[in-house]
Amino acid sequence: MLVILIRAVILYAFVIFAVRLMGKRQIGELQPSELVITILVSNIATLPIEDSSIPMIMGLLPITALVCLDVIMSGATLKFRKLRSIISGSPKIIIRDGVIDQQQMKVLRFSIDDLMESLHEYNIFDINEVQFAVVETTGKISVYQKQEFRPVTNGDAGVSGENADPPSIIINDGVLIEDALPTVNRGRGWVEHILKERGLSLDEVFLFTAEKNGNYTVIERSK
Amino acid sequence: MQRVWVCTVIMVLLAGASVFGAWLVDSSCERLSDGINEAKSLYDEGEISAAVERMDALYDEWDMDLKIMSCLAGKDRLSGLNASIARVKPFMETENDELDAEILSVLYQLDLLRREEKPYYWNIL
Repeated sequence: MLVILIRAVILYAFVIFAVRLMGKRQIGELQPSELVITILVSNIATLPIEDSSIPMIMGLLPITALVCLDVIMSGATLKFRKLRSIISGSPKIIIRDGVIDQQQMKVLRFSIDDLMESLHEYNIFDINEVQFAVVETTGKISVYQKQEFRPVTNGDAGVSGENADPPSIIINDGVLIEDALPTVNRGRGWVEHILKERGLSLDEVFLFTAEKNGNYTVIERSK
Repeated sequence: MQRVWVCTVIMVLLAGASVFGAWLVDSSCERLSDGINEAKSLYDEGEISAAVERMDALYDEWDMDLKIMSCLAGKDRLSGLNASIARVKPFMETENDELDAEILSVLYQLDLLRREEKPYYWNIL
């Protein structure tokens, strides 16, 4: 039993390392090849955990090989466009100027329900509002609305404003995040000064956020 | 792109380690086969105590090899082989009739283990 426990811990750490090696792209939307790798890795990892007669290297080796192959392949697809379209496919247009390309829908085996469901996610309930809809290589549908149905932006309304970075977290649960101070052009002294003014110690602060323009928010830890 | 290079290096290392692993199993099996054949020759020449001594030395070698091979080959196959090897020495000591069959069984299992580590088409498919 102890052997299985140790194996599980090692494989857990190893699979996390493997997923990190694959990169952040894999965690979001999966390309077909990435989906295959993810399923295979999860399956292979369970074998040496369940069966102690299988050497652990039999699990570690294929996982490493698959992940490395995937990274090498994704590197190659960056260089070779043709390879990218072979491995990941290419985006397909299914609505153009409000007209559904039924032939393409058939090829993609997309039902009208699938399409409508995806449009609903964009708050679109009428096909006529769509200028352009594309099925991405991940299977997700991206929609571009017709001009008259697009929401009004600040730019459309002529509202001007300064672009500013969002507030940075300076103190997180009593811990001062030194790396965040340069992002708001401040130093440790500024934080200490504010805390002194409010009669707070570092430990008493639950959250402290600040902006470049000097605005800040302090939330005390509840007692 | 750095990640791609790291993965390429890892793949090369894996290929190297796999070839080295296959070589390790192959050489261990060959050494053991030679040792058993040697002990068998001594036994056939009537030098039973020398044959038993040779088997003792072989058990020590096998003990080391088994630890390494446990990381590379399935434990089911190794435990079968281990049981067969363990029977050889007592059979020699008691001049048992089944000695020849047991030695053949060990040699066959060793050969199978060697072949399974090599990338033959029937192994891959």
